[in-house]
Amino acid sequence: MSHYAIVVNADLCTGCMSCEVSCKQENGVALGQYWNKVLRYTQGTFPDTKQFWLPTMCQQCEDAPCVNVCPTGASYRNEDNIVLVNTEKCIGCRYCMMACPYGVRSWNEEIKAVQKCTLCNHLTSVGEDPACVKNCASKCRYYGDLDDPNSDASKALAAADPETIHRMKDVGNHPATAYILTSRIGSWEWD
Amino acid sequence: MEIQWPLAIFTLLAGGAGWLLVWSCVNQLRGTVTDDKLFSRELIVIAILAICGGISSALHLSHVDRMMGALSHPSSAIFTEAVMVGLVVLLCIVFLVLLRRDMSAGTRKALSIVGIVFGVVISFATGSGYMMSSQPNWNTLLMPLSYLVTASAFGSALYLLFVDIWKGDEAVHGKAVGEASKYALVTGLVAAVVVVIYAIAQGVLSLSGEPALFAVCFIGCLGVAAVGAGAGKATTGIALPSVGVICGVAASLGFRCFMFAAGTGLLTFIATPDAANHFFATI
Repeated sequence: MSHYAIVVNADLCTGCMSCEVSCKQENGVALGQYWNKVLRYTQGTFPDTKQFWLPTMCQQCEDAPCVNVCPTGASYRNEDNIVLVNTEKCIGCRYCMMACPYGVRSWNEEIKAVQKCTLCNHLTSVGEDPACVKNCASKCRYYGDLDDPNSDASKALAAADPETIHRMKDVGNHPATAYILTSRIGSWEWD
Repeated sequence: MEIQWPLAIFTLLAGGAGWLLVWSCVNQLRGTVTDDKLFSRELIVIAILAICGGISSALHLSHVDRMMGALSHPSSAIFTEAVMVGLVVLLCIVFLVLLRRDMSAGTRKALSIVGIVFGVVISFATGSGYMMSSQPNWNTLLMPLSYLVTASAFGSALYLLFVDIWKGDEAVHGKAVGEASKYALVTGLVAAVVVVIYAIAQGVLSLSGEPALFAVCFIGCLGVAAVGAGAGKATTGIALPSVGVICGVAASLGFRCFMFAAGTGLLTFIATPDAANHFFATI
């Protein structure tokens, strides 16, 4: 079974927000909403400080709580095992937003439905990369099937020191999205 | 998390209906008050509470017209809750029809046992749907248990009011009020103890804004217990049981609001009202 996800090398991220902007532009994400958001983190106290950037988006959990709680099947996995939302089926109960361990789902007030990162399924299904990956100025984002050793995402992980590979806190949902962050740049505090 | 009022009111009404059903059915089994008119009124109120709860729940949804899609995922919490509301209403209708047809004692007992089970299950089920790993403060059995016990306090207060209003044989009335008072006393005290255990076990009282909501719930629980203690000793009229119902609402609704306020989430990167401010997050 495939596990498509994004790998982010936070060591290289400059916080330029290109991914955030391109995501909104490609997917028509409304003002004030985000499917992909870059957060700035500062650690330590002056003058001994570290700063890094953390792009956040749907973590493509293997056992996705959002899919489990959705009463209508609006949150589902497609044939490529990617977690998506069918807004035509969404009844707007927002249980999935409560159930998402990372709070990365958005409420679209206009269509009264929940939305989130789709890994730009309309692009990736025809062999392209997601908009955030294509437009990343520092080339720190990699997309692909984590079960395919030849995918960009797998290659990025294979090239990294295993000690520097992190995932968000796993509460039984097994997030697939991976982050590369060396202690020289910052301390991972989300596992 | 913001208080989800339609959901809080849904679980308040559904839970209250459930426990009014429990005590009404317990009375049918024990045979303390054998007045079918009183029982019929209780059943009608239970059905109305459950239906109003269902309507309140629907107000939370943006696309009720797509609700039939729930049939594709019958294991979800929303589906379970909807089924339980339907079953409680259906049981009330069956009871009402059979009361008009002089049902047998065996049927009455069998349906009463079903009613007790439905009443307990619905009050638990409305809380168990919130047990999710993404919400550490909710992900404990103490949470649905608190839903159950606070609903029992509210339902007991409602039952006490019904029995108190009922005009029947003085001796039977006194005995029935005495029993209903004991239910209110016990459920109020149990609810107070359980919600305190939940709050301490989850360490949620330290969060800002929540002590006030918890206080409403806790005082409401003790209020139901106090009314139970007072109503059992003297004929007080409608005033004291009415206060009990108000305390029951405070206990039950207070806990539900407290629970939503305690829903801080595991990590919230995007879905927060002040998401824009997270740009400057510092750890």
